[in-house]
Amino acid sequence: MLAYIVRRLLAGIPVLIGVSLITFILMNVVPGDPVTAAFEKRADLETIARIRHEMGLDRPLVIQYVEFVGKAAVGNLGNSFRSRLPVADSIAGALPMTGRLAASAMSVALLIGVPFGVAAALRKNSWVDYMSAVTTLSFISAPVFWIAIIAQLIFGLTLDLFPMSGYEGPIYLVLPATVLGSRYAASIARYTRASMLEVLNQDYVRTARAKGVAERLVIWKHALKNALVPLLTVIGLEFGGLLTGSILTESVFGLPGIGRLTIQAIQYRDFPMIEGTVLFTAVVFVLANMLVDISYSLVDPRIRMA
Amino acid sequence: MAAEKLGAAPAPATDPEKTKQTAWNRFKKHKPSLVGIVVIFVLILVAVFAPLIAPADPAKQELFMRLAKPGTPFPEQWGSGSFILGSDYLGRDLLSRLIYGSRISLLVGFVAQLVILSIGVPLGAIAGYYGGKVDKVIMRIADIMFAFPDLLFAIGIMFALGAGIINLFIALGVVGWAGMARLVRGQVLQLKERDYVEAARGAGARDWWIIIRHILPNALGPIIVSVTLGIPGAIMSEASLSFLGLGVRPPTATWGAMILDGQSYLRRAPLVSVIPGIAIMITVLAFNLVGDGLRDAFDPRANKKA
Repeated sequence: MLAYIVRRLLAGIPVLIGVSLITFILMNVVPGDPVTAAFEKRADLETIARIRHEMGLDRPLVIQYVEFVGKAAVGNLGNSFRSRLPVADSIAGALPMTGRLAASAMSVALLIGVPFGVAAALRKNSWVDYMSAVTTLSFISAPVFWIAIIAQLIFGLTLDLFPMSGYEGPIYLVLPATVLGSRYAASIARYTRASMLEVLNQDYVRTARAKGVAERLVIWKHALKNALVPLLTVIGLEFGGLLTGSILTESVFGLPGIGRLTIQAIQYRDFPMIEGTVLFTAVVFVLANMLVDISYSLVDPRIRMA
Repeated sequence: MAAEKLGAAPAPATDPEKTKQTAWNRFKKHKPSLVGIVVIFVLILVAVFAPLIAPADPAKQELFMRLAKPGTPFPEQWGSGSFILGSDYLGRDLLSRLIYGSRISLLVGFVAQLVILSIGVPLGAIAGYYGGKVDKVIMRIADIMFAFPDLLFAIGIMFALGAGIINLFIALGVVGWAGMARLVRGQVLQLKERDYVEAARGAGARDWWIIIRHILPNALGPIIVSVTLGIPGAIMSEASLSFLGLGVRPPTATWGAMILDGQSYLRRAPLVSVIPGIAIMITVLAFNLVGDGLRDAFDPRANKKA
């Protein structure tokens, strides 16, 4: 078991190096010179040259990259062009917000998605099943930022039930978490249904029924427990979507999280901040996938053999 | 009836023509897909004949007619007609922008898939067919691509390259090719061991001929499914990027940018944001339905699982 975990962690290292390399290339090589791009209209050539020198941008790219990775590894992501404060501090400040949003959205998704998926599987091809299929497909097909705006329109503007933007307490999370969560509830309901249908045909379910276990117990204990294993992968796969979904949701609801930090940085062409937030989000995504793989192997020992 | 039953008999359909036919028969029975096809067909007609259908020039502004209510007559100099769905914050006709917006969505959907095909299929085929070091290198790069959440990666690329439709094609291609490469590699790995491939090799056929003539045609099903399900993904990405101001440059009418335009005027003119979202949802839903139908048609086993 430990060997598997170590192997999985080691396999992540080249990926992380690749991620940092691509982030570096996107921010430093493709657009030409970030300082010039950011300060073109605000500073003269001498000032630009001075900033470039201070930031070490006049040195060879390879050295710059090595330094970027070296510093990033110890949590130094440079200073924002705009606020002049360390990027890492801004990210650390915004992280709890995004964490709260992601966690509450995932809870909403599971609380809605799993029961709907089970209900649809148990009444396969009934109107419950069809309605749930239509609803989930519609939610999957609608852009999350648009659902967010519709929610603002209905529950904020028209009914005045919840605050529409900003963050001053948990009530500000209700709409964003429900919006982001409902999108993933749809995916989770679909997978739960599929997984549940498969499990219900298994021998051990038939055995449980044959030996007279109450139907309720068969479904919730024997079937659902096993049906939820593949759901782990779905949660892992959807985690990336949750991260990017939170970028869009945060920007609609004005929640001060990592996503809004990224979008604001883009508006102000704040290169170090974008580099930092993109790298951070990608690394979190890689680590989350690793965690999912490892927890999967804990739940299902067969995985380790592969 | 009898013929159909025979077609479904366990005898393996090795003749590609026959497989195609049974797949088509299965697809025809999938009613939601047929609805999807009709919707897509109508959308294509709307996009192609946009100049004939649109009541006004989508970029023409009339600042005296900002946020006009639906049904408000056009200003005199525009000629007869009215703002059927109202106008946006610059006094542009919403319906006309909606109609022209379909062009961008469909164009991005199709072209992004073309780019993905032209990168992903050759790389996947080479990786799968030759194996060894080439395979390792290509698949490692693909792994790194997967390490970024899709939208975040696209945001990074669009930021580096700047907004614009060509850059959008590049970004979505770079983000999406790895998935296609993985799929094709898997197919090629399976198919290259088949007897007919051995036979072709024995007869002295060149590698590229074997790949193009003997292997890829048999991998067509999964590729078509992946492309069909990739189109709505690309449409959604374009909408999200345009909503973040990183997509196609304004004043081009795109659904995502229209939602952004309306966001600040939800109270006075909610339709400006609501309508384009419905258009995105219908379009994405249509492609998803067709994709689901195709998947079930090409792979009846997957159908049983779902």
